[in-house]
Amino acid sequence: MIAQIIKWEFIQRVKSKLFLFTAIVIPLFILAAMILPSLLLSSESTKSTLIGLVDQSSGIGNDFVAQLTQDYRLKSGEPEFSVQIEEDPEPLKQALLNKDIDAYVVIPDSILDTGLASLYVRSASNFKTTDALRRSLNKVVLNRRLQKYHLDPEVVKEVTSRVQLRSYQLSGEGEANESNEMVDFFIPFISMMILYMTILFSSQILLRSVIEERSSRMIEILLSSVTPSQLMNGKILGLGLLGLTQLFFYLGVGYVVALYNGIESIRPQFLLTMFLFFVSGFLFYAAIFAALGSIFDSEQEAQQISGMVSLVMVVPIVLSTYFITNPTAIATRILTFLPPITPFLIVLRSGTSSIDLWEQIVAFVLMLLSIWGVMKISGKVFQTSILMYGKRVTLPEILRWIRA
Amino acid sequence: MLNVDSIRKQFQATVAVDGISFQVEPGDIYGFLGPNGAGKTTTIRMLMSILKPDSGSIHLDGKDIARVSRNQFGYLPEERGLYQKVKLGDALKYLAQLKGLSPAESGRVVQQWLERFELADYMQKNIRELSKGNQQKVQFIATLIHSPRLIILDEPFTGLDPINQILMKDIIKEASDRGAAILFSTHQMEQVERLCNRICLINKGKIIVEGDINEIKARHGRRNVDILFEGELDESELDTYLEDIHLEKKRLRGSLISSSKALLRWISDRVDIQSYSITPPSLEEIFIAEVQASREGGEA
Repeated sequence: MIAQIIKWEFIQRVKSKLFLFTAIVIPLFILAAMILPSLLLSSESTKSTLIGLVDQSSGIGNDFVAQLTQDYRLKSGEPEFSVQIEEDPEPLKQALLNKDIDAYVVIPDSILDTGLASLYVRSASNFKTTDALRRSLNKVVLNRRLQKYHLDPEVVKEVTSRVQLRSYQLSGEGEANESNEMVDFFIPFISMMILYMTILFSSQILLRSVIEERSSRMIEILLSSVTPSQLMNGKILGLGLLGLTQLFFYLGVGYVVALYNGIESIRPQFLLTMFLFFVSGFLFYAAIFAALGSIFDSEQEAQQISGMVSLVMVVPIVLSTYFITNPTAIATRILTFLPPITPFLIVLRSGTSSIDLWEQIVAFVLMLLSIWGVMKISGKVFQTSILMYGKRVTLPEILRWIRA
Repeated sequence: MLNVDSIRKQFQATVAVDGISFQVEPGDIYGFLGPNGAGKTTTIRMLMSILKPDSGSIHLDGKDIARVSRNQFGYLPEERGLYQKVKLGDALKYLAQLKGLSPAESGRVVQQWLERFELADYMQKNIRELSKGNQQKVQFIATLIHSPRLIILDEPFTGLDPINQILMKDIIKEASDRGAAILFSTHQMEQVERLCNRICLINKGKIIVEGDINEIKARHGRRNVDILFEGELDESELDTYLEDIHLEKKRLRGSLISSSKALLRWISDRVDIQSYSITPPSLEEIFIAEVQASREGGEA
């Protein structure tokens, strides 16, 4: 019987628009949002950009044009910028407004002293062009200043070259990996967010599914076919599969994003950790949400308490900066063993490679024990309250059912 | 077949069912009656082993009901509904499969039942698009789709038009003919009189009357007289023969407290009798009388 319930819950929900949206559309959207801009930016233009130049200095303009031609070339080898030089800004102003040129630069005589030049554009947002013009002009002015003090540009470059501090991350096996601070922060954080979203999504669906069967008065018909515990377990397993499907999608997208950015971040052990702690975290919260669903007559009534439960899941997210930057602090270690947030902290900490295997094993065993406890309590509550309508269940009553 | 032996169920301070016993045999259509809050739904839930009795036992074919496969039960609860955003065909197939039918079998029987109820066109439609009456037909199908041996119908006819009521009655009778035991709970007495062969009337968790419907009527002392006459009748002496007297110009109704012979002799001396009939009490009268009697008994 339970197989039919699992299949029913899974298929009904996997077909739903909500699932399609959260499991597929959202990650694809994130993917697009992450990849598209850099894809567009890095695609080089094939047409040269026409700019204007008014040079009021002694020959800096010519150096500037030479530098620009040397530094920026199109794929075809042609200069990226072609420059129209004028004595007076007026014709350039007209040309800019007529869209004949994209920008024009005015180099004043005082540029060597003040370091100031002017750029005129139609829209201020062409970051790439602005950046290219600024860099080339900067080089020219710098060289002129060095000449003024009779300094060799090569010597100055050598003298002022900066020190680099490269960081290496030592893993348990003694291998050193070049580390990247952004990656070190984001991989654990994103992994934890994925876990949070999948667990929250599927346990919310479970809550809704129980409430729907209650409010549509379907429940009594079902209970003449299956026992309450079969119904509850079937729903939990069916929607757990749904969550796993979603997790699979999210990890797939995460993997593509990581690959695209050249990060080899997803290790098989990490996937196993994600899987085990998704399953245990989901079972823990699913049991709670199933029991909540059996108590309330409508989603609105359940919202307050389910919101409070979800708030517990948010704690690791709010404190994630602390946990990631202090992965071995006492507080982090202790909180790792607090069952409601264990899965999130484990995933967070194994993302920063700061967790011992024994810690993972102990945390997992603790999870299993607390799931057993929560399931037992929720089973009792579910069984007793599933057919009670229109009566607000009180806490003392629930405590009595648990003891019964 | 179904053997209920002094079951009892208590919810905190209230005793919902207090030692009820009865039997239902194959082919029986057993009326299960009682006012609101009498303990009907609790009893039915115990029969479906949704609830466990505190004491007493329920057996189906000698087997404890908790151990009987639920595939044998068909239950139409009073508070019933269906998934709303699900396709009709899918929902019925799911319910049939929960009762142990294979996917292929469930597809076949769902098709048959929908055709019989003229709902085949709605197979691919969402249930919420169905009218209320059609949704009731679907609930009825869900109850009977797996040919259960024990069928429990709680107020099955509420909200159905007369034509569909006839269709349902035919189907209930078919189930009874193939040997299913049917327990039929309702307030609508005329339905019970037409359909049931045996009844059980409960109030406050206890059985008041139980047995063959005709025997109960015969056993019940009350006989109603209805006389049409010509002439003048004086009410003053009537109360030695009748109670609940309704005397109109040419008609006398009441319930006999003497022999019918004595009344006839007395009346025929005074007026010209046009017609004379004695009818057994309706179930409704028995129901009301018994519930009132048990209330007075309880208060005394």
